[in-house]
This record gives sequence, C-alpha cells and structure tokens, in this order.
Amino acid sequence: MSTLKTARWCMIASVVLLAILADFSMLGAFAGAERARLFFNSMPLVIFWCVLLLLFLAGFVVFPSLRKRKMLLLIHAGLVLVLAGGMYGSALSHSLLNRFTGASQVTRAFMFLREGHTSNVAFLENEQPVELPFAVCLKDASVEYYDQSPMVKDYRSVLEIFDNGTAVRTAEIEVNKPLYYKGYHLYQNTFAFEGTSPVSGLMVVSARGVRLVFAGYAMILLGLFAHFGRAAFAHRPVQEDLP
Amino acid sequence: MNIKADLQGVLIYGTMGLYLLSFVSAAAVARAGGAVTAAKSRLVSGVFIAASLLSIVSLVYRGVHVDHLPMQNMFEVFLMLGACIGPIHWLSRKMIRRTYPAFLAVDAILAVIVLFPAGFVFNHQPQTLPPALQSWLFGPHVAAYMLAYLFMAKAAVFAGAGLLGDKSGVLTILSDYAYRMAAAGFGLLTLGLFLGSVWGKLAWGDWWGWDPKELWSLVGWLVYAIYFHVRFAWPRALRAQNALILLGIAVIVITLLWVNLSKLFSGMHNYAA
Repeated sequence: MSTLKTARWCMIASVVLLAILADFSMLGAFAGAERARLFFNSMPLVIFWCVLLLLFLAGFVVFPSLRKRKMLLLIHAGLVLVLAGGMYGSALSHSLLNRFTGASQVTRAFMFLREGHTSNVAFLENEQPVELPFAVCLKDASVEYYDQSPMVKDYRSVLEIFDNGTAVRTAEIEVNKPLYYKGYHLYQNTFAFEGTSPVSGLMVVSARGVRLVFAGYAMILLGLFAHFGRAAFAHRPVQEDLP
Repeated sequence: MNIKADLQGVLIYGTMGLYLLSFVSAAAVARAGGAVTAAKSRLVSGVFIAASLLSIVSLVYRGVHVDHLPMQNMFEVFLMLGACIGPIHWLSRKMIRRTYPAFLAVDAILAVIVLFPAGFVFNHQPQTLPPALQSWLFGPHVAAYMLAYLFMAKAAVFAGAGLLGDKSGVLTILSDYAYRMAAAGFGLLTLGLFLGSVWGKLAWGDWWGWDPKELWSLVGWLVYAIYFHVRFAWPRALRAQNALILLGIAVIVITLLWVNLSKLFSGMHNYAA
C-alpha cells in the first residue's frame, strides 16, 4: 500500500475509533456508573483499548507530521501515557501483577476506625477482608459544622501509619486532602457516630498508574494550548469579506 | 417561572435588558449596512459594555451574598456563563480581526439565552459549600468549562451560519471563524476535563469514575477531537466539519443539563454535580 493510502486508512481508523468510543460513552451514560465501569473493563473493551493504543503507535510511524510537529507529538504522546496509565491502574492489571509478582491486588478498600484504634485490615466492596502492607491508627476525628446549622463544613481525621511496627507518618486528612503512603492514597470517605464516639470511614485506593496519567495530562495541555493558541490567533490573509 | 424579587433579580433582569437592547441596536446597525455614524457605532458598543459590566457585578454580588465562589448550582452556573460573555467577546476580537456589528449582536443574544435559565428557571436559594466542593480546583474546573462552552457556542453559530449560507466564499470564511472559536475552546474544554479528573482523584479516589456526567463530557470532547482530525485530513469537507461542530454543542447542552434530564428517567444513577 502506498504511504498516502496507508495514511488515509490510518486517519479513517482514528476517526472511526474515536466515534466508537463516543458511542460507548453515551451507552455508558445511560447505563449508569456501576454498569459503565463493568462495561469499560470487560474483555471486549480491553481489546478495544489495546487496538486504540496500537493505532496511536501506528500513527507515529505513518504520519511524519506527528513526529516532526513537536506540539502534535506532545499531545498524542500524552494521550498514550493516559491510556497506558489507565490500563496499568486497572483492576485487571492489579490481578495480573498479583499473579506474577505477588503485589497487592487491592484497587479500592474501606476501613472503619474508632478513635485510638489501629488496624491493617480493610474491606473490599463485597465485604471481603484484605490485609494492607501497613497499619493505620486513628488518633483523632472531628466534624465541623457551619454556624448555627446542621450542614457539615468539614470532616477531619488524624492518622498514624505503622510500617513493620514502627510509626512512620502522622498526618491529618479531610475530604479533598488524602494521605499518600507506599502506593496507596487514604481518603476521608464517611463519618459516623457510635453514640458519642466518632467512627471515621476511610477509603484506601491504589495509586498505580496515576503519575503516568497526570504526566500525560500535562503534556496534552501544553501541546494543545501551544498548538491551538497559535492557530486561533494566527494572522491569515482573507480573500474577501462577508457581504 | 421563577421570578426573583430581590436585588439579585434586579441585577439579572437589568443585565438581560441591556443585552437585549444591545442585540436590537447591533442588529439594526448590521441591517443598515455600511453607512453608520461613528456616534451610533460607539453607542452600540457602549450598551454592550454596560451590559457586560452589569453581568460581572451581578456575579460578584452573588459570590459575596453566598460567601463562596458562585459556581455551586445551576443558577450560579448560568449566571457565570452570562458574566463570561464580555471577556469572551473581547478575546474573540483578537482572533477574528473583523468587527462586524453582527458579531456583537450574536454575543448579545447568546448572553440573553444563557442568562434566561438563571433569571427565570433555576431557583437561587443560597447553599453552604459541602466539604467535597472545598477545593482550590473548584474555581478553575468550572471556569475552564464555562469559557470553553461559550467558545464552542460561538463556533456553532459560525458553523450554522456557514451551513445556511449559499455562497462557497461565505462558507470558507465562516468555517475559518468556527475553527478559531473551536480551537480556542478545545484547550479549555480539555483543561476542564483534566482538572475535573485530578479533583476526582483528590476527592473521591478515582481520576475517572465512569459516571454519566463524566461520560457525557467525554463524548463532547471526542466530537471535537473528531472535528479537528476531519479538518486535518479532509480540509475541503467544510459542511461535514461544521456539522460536527453543531453536534458538539448539542452534546455540551446535554452534558450541562443531563443531571436535570436524568430525573426524567427513573432508575438512572444521579450525579451530584
């Protein structure tokens, strides 16, 4: 196939795959978050993601402008990083890595701690217990309300992390401010009272792949603003005026 | 109809009135063709600027009144869209170096359209900011989307006008204008998407939750991504390109209003937007 023909087919394939992804996303929106998550992680979609990734790589080979025009390169390389990061952080990736290297399978788990209590056990969505590679102690938990109102202003927990018996970190977490330790983020998820004593609900989430994704975001944004910034403000001779 | 009988209402209805006046006067000048006195021209601009300033005052008043960034509910979102028209108009003139009164009229009527839901549909009960919204990302995420949506709306106006026009020269020029607007909007649309993702990771543990709002915003992003690829590969297929731009704004409207539309479908997962 001539290079022009290959390029044309590559472009058609790109548009088609983008359109397919858009259609899948619309279906997912109608189905709701739970079903959408299952759908996008299902085997047919795993194949789709791999094909998409391969198409990106093919694009770099087929289109010289994608290699030479640095901003376009940045954008598409960034998208590859986002795809790769997403795949690396997926549930499937976690279970595969667990099978081959014994790394923890936990993508997301929950803990409920009372003040002063320590635990290294978290619970999956199906309530199955899993052991974490560290222990968490809730040193303090508090709620803050808006003046004279039952509306919650903030939930806070002070956590101490124990690794192999030694205290390694103490930090305060709140909504929008998780704690990071050894590949996991610990989030302030829920808050309840057992009588008068607070029970802090924590969420433990694997951070695998996140750095790749965010690096990809930075590259894409840089490339987009540089490329389209130039395009939007470009001077161009206009042959005729609007009537 | 939700009429606001307080100072906020006065500010909104005043803004809408001024923008409506701006639209009518600019449209009249556009109709009149070339010969318009400098004074008339300045008057038309002046009304637009006044409307723009009042829209900003209206937004700032709201922010002070509720004691947080005014971006929390639908009322505030549309109020903010209205306030962004002025800056967007100014920015667009740097990209499209032609000052047709028609362009002013378009922006003025767009302002009336986006302010209408704030003025007459959504209730403006102040709300306290829940913990999830107390993040430095709140402002930039919403602001990026607001600006992006307005650029995409302007792109859609040019694309639609191009499709309706019969002369190919007009189609080419308007398609170029649509492209510049879409180009300006796409970076901001992407920024909004990514800021939302980063915020999701900070607040909910996931940089992508597969929920309806996120998925619809992805659909919109993909439509414009397709548009730019089609424009690159098939530069003369102007009608197809413009059709994609129109599809894009349709998806944006759905994204913005899905939370409300989804209440019509029972059993839908609702999303706290």
